[in-house]
Amino acid sequence: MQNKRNVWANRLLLAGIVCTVAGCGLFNKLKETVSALEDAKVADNYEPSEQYYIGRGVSAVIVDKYPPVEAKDQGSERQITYVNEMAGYIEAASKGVTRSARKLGDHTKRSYDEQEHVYNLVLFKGMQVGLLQTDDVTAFATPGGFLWVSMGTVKMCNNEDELAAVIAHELAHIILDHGMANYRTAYKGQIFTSTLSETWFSGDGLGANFGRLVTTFAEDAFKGYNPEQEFEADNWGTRALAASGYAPDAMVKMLQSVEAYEKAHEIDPEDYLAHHPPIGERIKAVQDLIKTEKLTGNSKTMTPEAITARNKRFEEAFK
Amino acid sequence: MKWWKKFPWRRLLALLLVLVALAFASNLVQGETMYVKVDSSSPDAVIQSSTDFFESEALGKLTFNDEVEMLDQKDGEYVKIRAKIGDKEVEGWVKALILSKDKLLVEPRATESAGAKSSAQTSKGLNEQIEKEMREGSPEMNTALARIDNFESSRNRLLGGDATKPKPEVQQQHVKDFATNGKLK
Repeated sequence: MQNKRNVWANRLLLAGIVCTVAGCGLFNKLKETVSALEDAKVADNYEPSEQYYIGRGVSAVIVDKYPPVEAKDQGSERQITYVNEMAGYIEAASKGVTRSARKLGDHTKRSYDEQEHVYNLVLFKGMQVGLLQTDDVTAFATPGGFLWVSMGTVKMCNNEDELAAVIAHELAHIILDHGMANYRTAYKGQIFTSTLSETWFSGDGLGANFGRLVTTFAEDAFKGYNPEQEFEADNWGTRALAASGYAPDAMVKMLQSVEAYEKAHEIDPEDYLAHHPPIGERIKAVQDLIKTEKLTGNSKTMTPEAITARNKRFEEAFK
Repeated sequence: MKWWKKFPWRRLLALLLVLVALAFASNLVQGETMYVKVDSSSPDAVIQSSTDFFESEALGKLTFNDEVEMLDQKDGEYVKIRAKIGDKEVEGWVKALILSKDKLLVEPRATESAGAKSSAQTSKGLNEQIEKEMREGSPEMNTALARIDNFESSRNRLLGGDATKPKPEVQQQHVKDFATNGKLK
């Protein structure tokens, strides 16, 4: 009887091994199929180098409207270096911050493919931050890692942590692929006509066609991202501030400064800020996030000594 | 004697070990050749000594479409690789995201569909060559892109120590110093 049981146990084990091996074969086959499907999806995506050139084209339209601060003396060199170091730092320190649309407040509805684009996003030449010579409160993030902040926005900030909030918010648009998501939509819709594209380009050819697309897309970018993307950028940006050692509530203070600016100035309906969601709703969403996620800030980086060190260099660079 | 005392537990253990090994084997990519999809100026092109950005040292720098060999270690978003840098072989950590299974095309994808009627299709994908065509067709865009050229050169010089060939390891040091001086790390 016992021998019989052993024989059956051995048979069972053998069957298990056979099934496992066969299962692995099937599993690998399935994996190959999934991989092939994924490759097909990726083929629809833009490579990092392509995104970089799209970003250059869009940035060109931005600096045509708002001339950039040029590195012509020690002061301007210091400013450009400072904002680039800050963006590089926030990007490096916030690598663990979630990119999941669902976890970032479920504001945007990304398809599986779109979420994959976000998870796989990589910048061809890294982040490049430029300053714009305008007192308007405005900032832009383009595909490919270009980030533009106006001097008006910098002046609006009271300290380094608030400027970090601006940078973190704009960085979020890049990290979360908002620009490319909108670009893909424009591309699929074949939007090619805008005042600027008609003025700047004529004739056919790859260069002219690309120029039309980039200028049309850039003109649309002047109106800002859609409200859902703005809420998501606030959410990611606040988490990034906390991960970087900055005060998370600097995002609230920065938005309150924007609110004060809006009240003090009549915003043109064509302006960037006019297309953002109501600022009060954004402030409340960030306050709720800080409360629910208990984003209290890092006690080691929030000492009076640390805050003084940061504000001193901010003052030296900009005031 | 009870049947379970006669049950071949050792064989069951062996089977479990085989299963575990197979599960791991399905994810192993050791020895696989991968290609770099970022420019040499990207901070991500630096081969790091560890996966902690703020503690690591720069061991070497990769360039676009460089071949690297995957080693069998993974840590979070980083993978360990071996690459030939000049005459030396360097082993270190890079972000998995910067690697591609296939060598990337240098030619624009747009040229593949140059015969397509749709303007959208023909304008998909962009590289230096198409940007040049775009500049030649529009003096306004040419002037605007000259500003971007100037901006990138200045930024490269200030952050990477060289206007045309910025060094990402220098840029990484800027970022680390920024964190230290601001008492953020």
